[in-house]
Amino acid sequence: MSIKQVKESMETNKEIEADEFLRSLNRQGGFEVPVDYFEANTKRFSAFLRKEGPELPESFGGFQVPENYFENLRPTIPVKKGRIVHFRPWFNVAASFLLIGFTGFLLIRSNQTGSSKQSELSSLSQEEIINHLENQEFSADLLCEAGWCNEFQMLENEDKELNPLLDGVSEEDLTELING
Amino acid sequence: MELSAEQEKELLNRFNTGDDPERVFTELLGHFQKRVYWHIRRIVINHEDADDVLQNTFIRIWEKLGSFRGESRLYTWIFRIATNEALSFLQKKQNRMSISMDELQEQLGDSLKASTYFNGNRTELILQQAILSLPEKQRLVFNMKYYEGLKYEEIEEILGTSVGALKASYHLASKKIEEFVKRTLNS
Repeated sequence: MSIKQVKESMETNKEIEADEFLRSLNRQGGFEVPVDYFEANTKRFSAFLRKEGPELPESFGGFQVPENYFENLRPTIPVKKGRIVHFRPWFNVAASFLLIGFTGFLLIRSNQTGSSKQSELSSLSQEEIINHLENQEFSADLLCEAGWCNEFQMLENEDKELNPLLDGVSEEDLTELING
Repeated sequence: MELSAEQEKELLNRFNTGDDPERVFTELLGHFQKRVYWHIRRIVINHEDADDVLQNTFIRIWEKLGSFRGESRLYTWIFRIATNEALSFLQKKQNRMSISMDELQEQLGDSLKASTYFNGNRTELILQQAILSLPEKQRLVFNMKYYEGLKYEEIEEILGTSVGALKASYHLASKKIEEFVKRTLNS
């Protein structure tokens, strides 16, 4: 139906409620409600407004629960227990031996490592050690951070005091003095 | 039971100033619940759904009645809330079922056959299916006019649509329904 037809229909002032076909149908439409639904609804809502307790009926929307279900309802949360593992005696003995063996192995290995480093150091000549130390550049900040601030200061002061005294001494005399 | 404009005002006055608003509200419920229920039922079709929407509607009315300014008639305000609640319910149902509104309305029509609370004859069933085949706005207008006998001016207040548009909607709806029913009955 076009808009023009709708307008024409309305302009002719045809009372649409008076449509013959629709008038012939039953206006009830076939819908029903449960018996006493509106009375129950008034009571239910009144209870809700006055907060007089549960307003839900025993059967709600067709679903039902066992008798006194809500009264007897208790939370049943299972308690989670720690699991105790029982080892057999032979397992305990074996585990002890294994632990002792592993500890011994670690001790022997650390001794071997220490002695090997010591033997390496002893093989170096004194000259090589002095040269190595002379070539190292120590940072004052690094030494201070390591907690050697005072010692470093003392060394510096000693150098300042000794340097003028050693000015006139030859290098050969100094080597002789150090080597005793 | 119809209330006049004066009776509505008097009831509102008692609700706002009286010392027992719960009692006044229960009175209001008694006056309006049947009409509101049938209005909702024709939108959502199933009784269980209509019951849920009716509860929500009156809870909403209870919450908002104190702020109602009386700019329209009380019953049109109540019908507006009921319409919004019912449409919102259908929208949620449609989303939950992940189907279109047309499909949902078709399903509602089919569900009538097995419904405990529908005992219409074949013509009445076909009529309901025809109404459910209409677009949402036409369906609302047709139900309010045909079943609830509201005036166009009252429907205008409820839906916020002009009287002219409402007349056109109703006219189109009634023609579509007539065609649907005649075609189905003859098939």
